[in-house]
Amino acid sequence: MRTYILKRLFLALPALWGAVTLVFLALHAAPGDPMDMILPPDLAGAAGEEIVARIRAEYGFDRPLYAQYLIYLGRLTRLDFGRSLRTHTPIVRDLARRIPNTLQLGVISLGIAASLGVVLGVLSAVRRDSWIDNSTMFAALFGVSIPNFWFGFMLMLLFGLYWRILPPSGFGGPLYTPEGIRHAILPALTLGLASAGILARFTRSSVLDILGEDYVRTARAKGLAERVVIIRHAMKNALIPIVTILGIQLGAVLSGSVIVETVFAWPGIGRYLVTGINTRDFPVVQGAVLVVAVSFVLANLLTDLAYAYIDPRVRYE
Amino acid sequence: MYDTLVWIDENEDIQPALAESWEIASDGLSIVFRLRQDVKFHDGTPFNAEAVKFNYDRMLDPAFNSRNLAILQPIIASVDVVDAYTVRFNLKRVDVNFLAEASWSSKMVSPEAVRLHGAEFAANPVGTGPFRFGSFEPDSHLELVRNDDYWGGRPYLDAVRVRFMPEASARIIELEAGTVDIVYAIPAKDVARLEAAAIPIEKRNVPGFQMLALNLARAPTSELAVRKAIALAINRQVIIDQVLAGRAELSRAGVSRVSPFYHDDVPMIQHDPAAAERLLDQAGWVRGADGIRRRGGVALKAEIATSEHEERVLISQIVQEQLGRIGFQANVVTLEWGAYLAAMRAGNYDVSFWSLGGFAHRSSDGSANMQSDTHWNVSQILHQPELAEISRRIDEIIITAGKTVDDRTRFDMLREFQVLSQDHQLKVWLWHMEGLNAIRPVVRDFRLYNYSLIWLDRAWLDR
Repeated sequence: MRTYILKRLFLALPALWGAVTLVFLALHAAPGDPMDMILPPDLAGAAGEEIVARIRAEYGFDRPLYAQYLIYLGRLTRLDFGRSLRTHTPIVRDLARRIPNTLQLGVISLGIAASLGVVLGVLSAVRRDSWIDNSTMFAALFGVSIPNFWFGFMLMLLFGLYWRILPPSGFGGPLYTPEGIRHAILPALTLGLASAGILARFTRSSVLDILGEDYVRTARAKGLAERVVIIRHAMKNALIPIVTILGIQLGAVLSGSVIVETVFAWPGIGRYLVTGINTRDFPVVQGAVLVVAVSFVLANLLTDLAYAYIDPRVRYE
Repeated sequence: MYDTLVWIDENEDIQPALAESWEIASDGLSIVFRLRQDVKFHDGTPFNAEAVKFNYDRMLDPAFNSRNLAILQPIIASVDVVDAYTVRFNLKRVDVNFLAEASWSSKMVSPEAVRLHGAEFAANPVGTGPFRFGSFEPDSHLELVRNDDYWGGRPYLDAVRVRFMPEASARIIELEAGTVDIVYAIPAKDVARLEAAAIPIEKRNVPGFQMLALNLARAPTSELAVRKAIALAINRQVIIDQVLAGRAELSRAGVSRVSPFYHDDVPMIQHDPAAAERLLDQAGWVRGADGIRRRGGVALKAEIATSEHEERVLISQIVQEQLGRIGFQANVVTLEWGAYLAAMRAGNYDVSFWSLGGFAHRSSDGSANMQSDTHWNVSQILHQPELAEISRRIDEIIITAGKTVDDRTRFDMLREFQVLSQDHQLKVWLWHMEGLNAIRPVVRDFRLYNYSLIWLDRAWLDR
């Protein structure tokens, strides 16, 4: 098992290298000049070309692209992500500060997605074509289809402005504080909704398949209570596709955080990335994308490991 | 958190702050500031002439890479300590805007704290202002707490929380919910809604000017008749009313009414589409069956470049429509901000909404960034040989005016600049925009510092 994990992590390196390279090239291919960030319009005018050129050289923007790329890769191997062009803070520190915030949001929203999605999915499967099934599937369709920035604003309007029971947006601190929880509810709901919808639909069809299996009929024939049949016999086997989807949703939550964190003014990786892109802060974008890439790799790994746990037939040598 | 040596009040007068008084040498090449003697930094160390020198030396040190370096370096030669509370700035050239500029750049930080924290100073800021640093959560908020020893008197507010909220709609919702009290930069479209919710909007004419930049080096805008026609075809008032909620002043020639450099005899652009059509007819641009003008088989086309900014896109679309009415085939091209800036500077555009600014109305004479070789002068005038003479004259005026202390002489010189720019329609002046800040009525006795900053040293909450 350990060798398997190590091997998987080792194999992830090319994927990470690819992501890093792609981002590097995309940033440099995109029009726009990072100098605009370092010296805003009014200032550059006053500065004159001489100073502009000097600062450009200082940041290495005057070097050929391949040189900039090699320098960048070299730094990465030493886990030196550089400093933000805008704030001059080391990227590593910025990331360390924001990862827990995104993680908080991700964990709650995945929790919401998993509990809501799986419970409603199972209920729909068991009570097929009932009102529960119909309304769940309708809600799931709704959850999957609506854009999360719109849903976020609707939640903000309802809970924050009309009923005034939750803060409309912002960050309230760590989750173990009441304010932290109160602030996290709306963004986590926004983020978790789409995943809940997808999970509910997958759980339903997965459970429905399994309910038609022989061993379920056998279990029922033995006279087991329906509850035991569903939970002990059917769910165990229905879990594999559900875990796969959950793994994929981990990625969806990360990409969703880009929008949700911006809408809710949440100081996480998603917002960090957006600000970095908008301000042409190359090192920031590169650092944030690297974090996202690593998370995807880890999420995939976790999913695979979960298979082995759920289904002992799956063996890795 | 920080105080400046001087500040600009609501009447645009320079007022003493950390500097009690100042004296400009007769040749304009040095300024002596006399400092307040009762000021302490938040860390208890005294504010004095040494501290001022330390701050300016720090900003002028290229290694520190200050944002102010670019502005200060061409102006300041050195800063001398005359005595404990007197400091002299030696200037490289006369700069009439030096004091207005100092109202922004002279934020004084504690030298002791800089020595203590070094590169980490930004995470442990120490100034002299009414509030001192409390805590900071990047991308979330900054918390400032009251400075009990503030030289201007103990502030009433216990603390101020500054929240960073990227989404305008979210800011408005929070304002209405009462979870924030002040919001900067309200979109014009939300003004009516907020006023209906009894949230007053503080409107200030922001120094600077908005215009349609015209590419002087490329057809068709390289042609004077076309440029004039564009100016005449645009109904600026309609755009102000429809897009900007009426929050802008029509511009005469890039100078706002509140500036002393405003000349009411400089030609003003009038909305006259019929005259625009006549001009184009005379220039040989004739309408075809499809309504589009052509000359020698070439259609009268222009590309309107804009960034993704919502208001700018709308403005560009209205301009497109208004140009269409005089037989101009205009297309709006929306570009991401970085791409947009690159296109503007490379001259890859025909027409674009462009906004430039100055530090103060008092010094705002429409000439900011208008020198032909300025990074942000996107008009491509240097690539248009026909305008070489005009361009040279404009540069001469701007350079000389910047050194001329006598306001009367400057006034006349800048009038010539405004007339030149208008006669040759180097750009289409649009308007001067108002900055819209919303302040809930519970906030009392705030003041506006340097036009746009809301200063809370004497503010209190009425609830």
